[in-house]
Amino acid sequence: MDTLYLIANTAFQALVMGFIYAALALGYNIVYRVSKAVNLAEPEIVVFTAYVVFVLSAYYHVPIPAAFTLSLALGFGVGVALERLLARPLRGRPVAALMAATLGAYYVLRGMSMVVSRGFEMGSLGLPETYYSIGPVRASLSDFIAICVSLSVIVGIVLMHRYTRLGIAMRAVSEDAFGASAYGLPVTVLTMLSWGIAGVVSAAAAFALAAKAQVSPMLDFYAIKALAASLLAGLDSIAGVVVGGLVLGFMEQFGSLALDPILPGLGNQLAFIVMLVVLLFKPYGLFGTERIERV
Amino acid sequence: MASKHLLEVNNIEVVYHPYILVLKGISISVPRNSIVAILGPNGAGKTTLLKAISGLIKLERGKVTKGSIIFDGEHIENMEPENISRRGIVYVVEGRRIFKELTVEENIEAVAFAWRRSSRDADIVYKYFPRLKAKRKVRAGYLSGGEQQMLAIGLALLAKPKLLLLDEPSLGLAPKIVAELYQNIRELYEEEKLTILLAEQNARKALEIADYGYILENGRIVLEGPAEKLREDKDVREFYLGVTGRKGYRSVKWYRRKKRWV
Ligand SMILES: Nc1ncnc2c1ncn2[C@@H]1O[C@H](COP(=O)(O)OP(=O)(O)OP(=O)(O)O)[C@@H](O)[C@H]1O
Ligand SMILES: [Mg+2]
Repeated sequence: MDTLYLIANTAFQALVMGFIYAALALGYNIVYRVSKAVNLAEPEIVVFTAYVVFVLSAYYHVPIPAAFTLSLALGFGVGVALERLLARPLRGRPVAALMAATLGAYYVLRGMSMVVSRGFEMGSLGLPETYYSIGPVRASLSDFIAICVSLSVIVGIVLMHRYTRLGIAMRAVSEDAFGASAYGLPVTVLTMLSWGIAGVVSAAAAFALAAKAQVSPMLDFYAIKALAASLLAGLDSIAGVVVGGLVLGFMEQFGSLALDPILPGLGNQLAFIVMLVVLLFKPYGLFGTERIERV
Repeated sequence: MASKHLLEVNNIEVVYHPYILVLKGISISVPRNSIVAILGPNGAGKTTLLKAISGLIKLERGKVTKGSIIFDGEHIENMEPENISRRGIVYVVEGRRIFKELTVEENIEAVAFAWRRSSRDADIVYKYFPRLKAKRKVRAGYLSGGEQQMLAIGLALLAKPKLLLLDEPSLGLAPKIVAELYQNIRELYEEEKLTILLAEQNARKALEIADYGYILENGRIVLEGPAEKLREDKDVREFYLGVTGRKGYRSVKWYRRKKRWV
C-alpha cells in the first residue's frame, strides 16, 4: 500500500510541476517564434514577478489576486521593454548577439528583484494550507492553484494562436517575417506584443511556482530547467510545451525517487541531461516545425 | 501634388551590406493604372529593385545610397517597410512566399488582420481565384505551385494596393498555368484598376500584358520602351522572346559576350 501512495503522490506532483514547466517553456517559445532567440532573461522575469506578488501581499497587504494581476502587467511591461531595447535594435544581426543581450538583461532584472525584495528576503505567499484527498493522492490548494494558473495560460495562448486573427497573424510572422512584412503585416508591433505576452506567461508561471515553492532568488533555477521542456517540445512549438513540461516533470519526480537514495540531488539535474540529449539527437524537438516542402 | 506618375524611381543605387553594389543608377516611372514590366536575366537586379521600392531591402541590410524613390509625390527611399506598405505598396515576393504552415483561410485572415478587412472583403480572393475556395482548409504548403501563386496574389488584393509589385509570378510553373495566371492578372488589373510593376524573366508573357517595359541587365537599364515596341525590337525578339533559333533566355550568356546593348 505504501508504494501505491508513494507512486500516486509522486505522479501527482510530477503533473503539477509538469504544467508549471510547460508554462515556463511557453514563455521561451513565444519569444523564440518571433525573434529566433532564447530569452535568457526569462528566469529573472520569473523571480522578479514572483517577488512583486510576495512583497505586495506580505508587506503591503495587497490582496493576492490584485498583486497577481499587477505582476502580470509588469511581466508584460518587462517583455515589451526587452523587445524595444534589445530585440529591435539587434534585428538582422546574429541571434547570438540577442541572446547575449538577454543574458545582460537577466542581471539587470536580478538587481531590480533585489531592490524589490529588500535584499532577497525569502518567504511564502501564505496561501491557506488546505488539503484534499483524492483517492490515494493528497493535494493542497497550492497544487490546484498552480495547475489552474499554468493550464489556463497555456490553453489561452493555444486558443489565441489557433482562432483569433491576432494569433493567426502572429503565426504568420513567426513563419516568415519577411513575407509578412511584404504583405503589410505590422511585424514590429506583433513582435513587441509577442515579447509582452511571453512576459505575461512568465509572470503567471512565476505565480504558479510561488504557490508551490518558497519565493526566493533560486526560483530562476526552475525556469532554467524549463528550457529542457522547451527544447524537448521544439523551440517554435506552442501546444507541444505540455508534453515537454510533463516529460520533464515526470522524469524529475520519478528520477529523484529512484536515484536520490544512490546519488542524492541527481534527480534535480536530470533536466540538463534531457537538454543535452535533445540537442544532440533531436535539435528541433518533438514538435518543432518540419517545414512543408513540396518537391 | 499629384504627379502624372504614381511611382518615380530616379537614378538609384542600391548597396547590400557591406559594399555589394547591385543597382547602378536605375530610373523608371510607373504611370497610374498601368502595367510596367521589368525584364532581365538571372541576377540582373529585378528583385533588388522591387525590394528597394517596398523597403524590404532594409531587412537584408541593404539600402538606397543614391537617387530617390517618389511614390504619390512623397519620398519613400529607405523608409521602414511597414510605413511604405501602409502607403499602399504591396509586394508579392518571388518564389510564392505565402505562409505555408497556415491554411488558405488562415493566410487570408492574417493579411485581412493587417489591413482591417472584414471576412466579406476577404471574398475578393475567391472571386478572382475560385479554385482556392475548395481548398480553404488546406495548408498552403500543400497547394500546387499555381494555386500558391494565386493565393500570393490574392493576399495582396486584400490590401487594395495602390501599387502592386509582382515578382516573377511565372517562376517554376507549367506554361498552361502561367497562361491562366496571366489571364487572372489581366482581369484583376482591369476590374480593380490596379497599377502593377511586374518583374519577369518570362518576357513573352510579361510583354503580352504590360504597357511599358524596361530591360535590366547587370544592375543597369539597357533598353526601355512601350511594350509593343519591345515586342517588335529585333534584339528583344532574338534574345528574350526566342524568336530566332528558339534560344530563349538560355542564350543570355552568349548575348552577354556580344555586349550589344552595353
Ligand atoms: N541579400 C543580398 N545580399 C547580397 N547580395 C545580394 C542579395 N540579394 C541579391 N544579391 C545580389 O544582387 C544581384 C541581383 O539579385 P536579384 O535577386 O535582384 O536579381 P534578379 O534579377 O531578381 O534575378 P532572378 O531573375 O534570378 O530572380 C545578384 O548578383 C545577387 O547575388
Ligand atoms: Mg528575382
